[in-house]
Amino acid sequence: MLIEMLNNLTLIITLTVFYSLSIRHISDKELIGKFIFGILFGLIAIFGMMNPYTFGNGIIFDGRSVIISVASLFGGAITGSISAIIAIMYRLWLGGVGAITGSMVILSSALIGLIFHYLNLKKITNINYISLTVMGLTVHLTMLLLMFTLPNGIGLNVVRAVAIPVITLFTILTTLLGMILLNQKSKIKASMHLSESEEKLRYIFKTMQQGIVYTNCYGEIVDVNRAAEVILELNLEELKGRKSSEIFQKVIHEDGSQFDSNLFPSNQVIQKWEKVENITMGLIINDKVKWVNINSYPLENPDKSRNLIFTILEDITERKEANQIIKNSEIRMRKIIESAQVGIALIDSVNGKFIEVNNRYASILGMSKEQLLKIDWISITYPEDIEKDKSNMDLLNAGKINHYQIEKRYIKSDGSIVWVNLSVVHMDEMIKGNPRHLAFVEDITERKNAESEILKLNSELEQRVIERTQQLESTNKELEAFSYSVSHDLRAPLRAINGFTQILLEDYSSSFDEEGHRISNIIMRNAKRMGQLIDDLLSFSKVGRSELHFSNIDMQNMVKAIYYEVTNEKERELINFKINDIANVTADPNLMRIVWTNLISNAVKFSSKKDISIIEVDSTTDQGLICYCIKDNGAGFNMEYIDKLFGVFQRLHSDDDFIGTGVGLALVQRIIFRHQGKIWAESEIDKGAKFYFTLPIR
Amino acid sequence: MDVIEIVLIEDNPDDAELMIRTLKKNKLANNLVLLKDGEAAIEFFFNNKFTNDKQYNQYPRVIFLDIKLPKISGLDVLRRLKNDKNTRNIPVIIVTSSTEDPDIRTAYDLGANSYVVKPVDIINFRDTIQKLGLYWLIVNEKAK
Repeated sequence: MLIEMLNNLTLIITLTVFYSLSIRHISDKELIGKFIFGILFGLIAIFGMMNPYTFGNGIIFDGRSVIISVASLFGGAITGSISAIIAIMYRLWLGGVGAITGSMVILSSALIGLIFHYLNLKKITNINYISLTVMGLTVHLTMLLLMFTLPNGIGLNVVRAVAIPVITLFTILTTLLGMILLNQKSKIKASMHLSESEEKLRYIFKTMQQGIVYTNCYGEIVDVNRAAEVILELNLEELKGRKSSEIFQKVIHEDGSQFDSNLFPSNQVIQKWEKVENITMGLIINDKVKWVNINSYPLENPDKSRNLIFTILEDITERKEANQIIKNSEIRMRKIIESAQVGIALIDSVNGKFIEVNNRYASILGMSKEQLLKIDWISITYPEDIEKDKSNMDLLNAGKINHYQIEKRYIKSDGSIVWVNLSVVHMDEMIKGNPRHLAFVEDITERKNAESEILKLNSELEQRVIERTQQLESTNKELEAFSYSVSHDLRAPLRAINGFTQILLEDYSSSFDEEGHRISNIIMRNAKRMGQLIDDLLSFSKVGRSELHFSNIDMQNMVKAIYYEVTNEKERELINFKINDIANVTADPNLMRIVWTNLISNAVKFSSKKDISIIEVDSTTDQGLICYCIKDNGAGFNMEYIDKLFGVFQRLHSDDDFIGTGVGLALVQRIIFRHQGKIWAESEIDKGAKFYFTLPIR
Repeated sequence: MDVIEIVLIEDNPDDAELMIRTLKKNKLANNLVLLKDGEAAIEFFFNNKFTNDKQYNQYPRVIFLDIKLPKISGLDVLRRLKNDKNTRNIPVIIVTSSTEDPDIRTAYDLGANSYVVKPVDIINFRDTIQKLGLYWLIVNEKAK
C-alpha cells in the first residue's frame, strides 16, 4: 500500500509540474486551454489507474477521485468533464467487477469538484485548505457510499477495509494537491503580473521625455533612458561606468559660475542619502549650453540597503531662453516706463490705490513714490474733478468703454494745483486680485495757463476792437454830419450870390453896360462852380465812407439809361453811341451809376468839339475779372500827365477848353478801388481816349 | 380882413427875398405872409390865431416850410401842423437846400405833401403847384 501511495504522490508531483509549465503558456480561461487541461488531468488519472492498490477482485484504488475532483474544481465544467470522460473510458476498458462503481466514483468526483468550482466562482467560498478539505471529504465519503453499489454485497467489506485510509489519506491528498496547484497558479499569475508591470515600466523608461539616469553609490552611471541620451548627447555605451563629473565639458550655475561636481545633485544624494530636487544646471555640451532641471532620489533595496541613485533630467533650455527674452523685455519695458516723460501709473480698479508709479508721475505730483503707493487717486484729485473722473472710471470698470481721456487737476503735496491730461486704459491681464488700470498723465499746467492767457488777451482784444470800432463809427458819424452841414451851410451864401446877381442881370440890366454884364456873369459862373465843387467834394467823401451794398447789375441797361440822363436830344443827334454786349456784374449800383455818369459825361464832353462824337462801350471777361472799356474820339490827353489824371482837383485841360472840377475821375477811381478793381486810361492828343476799369466777379 | 393864400416860413432873409421875388415876378405872391422861424409859426397858427400885423380870418391855402429852422425846427412845426385838426389839411410844401437831405423822408412820414429845392426857380415852383392841384394859385389877378 505504501508503494501505491508514493506512486500517487509522484503522479501528483508530475501533474503539478505539467500544470505549472502549461499554465504559463496556456490560459485556462480559453476554450482550448480548458480542453488541454482536461486532457492533461485525464491522462494523469489514467497513469494513476495503471498503478493502483488492488483490493481483491478488480477493485482498485487509485488517486483518480483526487485528480478528477481537483480538475473540476480548478478547470470548470469542460476540463472536469473531459478528464472524467477519459478516466471513465479507461476504467471501463480495464473492466472488472468494480468498473461501473469505479466509473460512478469518477463521475461523482467530477460533479462534486464542479459544485465547489461554481461555489468559488460565485465567491461563496474561496479555494483554500478548508474548502479543499471539505471537498475532499465529500468526494471520498461519496466514494465509500458508492462502494455499496458493488455487486454481491462486497461493498460492506470493502468499506470496512478501506474507509479509514480513504477518508484520511485521500482527503489529505486532495487538499495537498489542491493547495499545491493553487500555490502554483497564484505564483505564476503573480510572476506574470510582475512581468507585465516590468514591461510597462520599461516602456515608460524608454519613451518618456525626461531623461533618467541611474547611478550607483560610487557615482558611476549604470543605466540611462533614450531621453537622457538625447540630453547628454552620448549613448548608453559611452555613459556606462562613467562618473557624472567626467562626462561634461563644463557645468555652470545660472549666474555663469562654475558648478562644483561635488554639488551635483546625484553626488549630493550619495553623500546625504536624501532626495535633492529642483537644481538648475547649465551643461556645456559641444560648446553649447544646455539648461537642465534635475531631481535626484535615493533608491533603497527591500532590505533598506543602498541601491541606486535615480536622477531625472529635464531639458529647460528653451524655457530658459524664453524666460530670458521675457526678462529682457521686462527690463526694457521698465526702463522705458521709468525714463518716460509721461507719468505712468498702475491703479487698482476697485479701491483706486496706486500699485505702481514711475518717477515722472511722482514728480508731477510733487510726492515720492513711497508716498504715492500708500494712497488712492481720489485723495489727490481736485474736488470738482472727482465726479467727472469717477463716472468715467465706473464706465471703464463696467466694460462699457475701454479707455477714456479727460483733463483734470491734482492737488500736489504742497497744496498747489496741477492741470494734467489723463488717459486711462483697462488692463486685460490674467492676474489674481482686483483688475487694474493703466493711467498716463501729462502735465498741461503750462498749456492751460497759456490757454487762459490767450482767452484773456482775446477778450481784451475784442474789447479794444469794439471800443475802436465805436470810436471809428462815431468819428464817421461826426464827419458825415460835419460834411453835410458844411456843404449845406456853404450852399446858402452861394444861393444868395447866384440869386441876387441874377436879379441884377434881369431887373437892372439897363443900368449895366456890357462890362457890367460880363462881370455879373463871371460872378455867377464862379458861384455855380463853387456849388459844383461842394457837391463833388461831398460825393467824394461820401463814397469813401459809405457801406457797399452789392447786387447784380444789368450794366448794359445802366449805361444806356445814364447816357440818356447826361445828354439831351440835340446832343445825341451828333453822337454815335455804341453799347456792345457788356457783362453784368455784382457791385454797388449807386456807386456804379456815379462811375458811368462821370465816364460817359467825360466822353461826351471831351468829344463835343468833334463833328460827330463816336463813343463805344465794351467789356471782356478773363480769369475772374470783368474789364469794361469806354472809348471816345475826342480831344484825348497827353499821356505824359497820366499820373495826374485821377488826382483830386487835377485837371489836364483848362476851363476854357472843357469845364470840369477835376474831381470826377478821382471819385471814379475811389469807387473802383473800393470794389477791389483797377482803373487806367490810354490816350493820344486829338485821337481820343480809352478808359478801362476792372471789377472782380463775385 | 385880408385873405392869406401863402404862408412862407423861412429864417434866411436872403433866401426868403429870392423866393418872394420869384413869386412876385410871376404874380403869385399875393397875400403872402412871411414868418421868420418856428416859434413865430407856432405863435401865428396856434396862439395868436393868425395875427401878424394884420388879423387874418381864414387858413392859408398853402404853407412853404423851410426844414432847417432855428429854435423850433421845421419838422416840429410840421408835426404840430399835421396834428391839429384845423391845420392838418393845409398842404405843406417843404423847402430844402438839397435833394439828398435825409429830413425829406422824415417830413413825408410826418405828412408833408411835396418839396421844392432852393433856390426856388419858377419852373420848379409851377411843377410843384401843379402836382398839388393848386391850380387856382396860378392866377394872375385876383378880383378884389
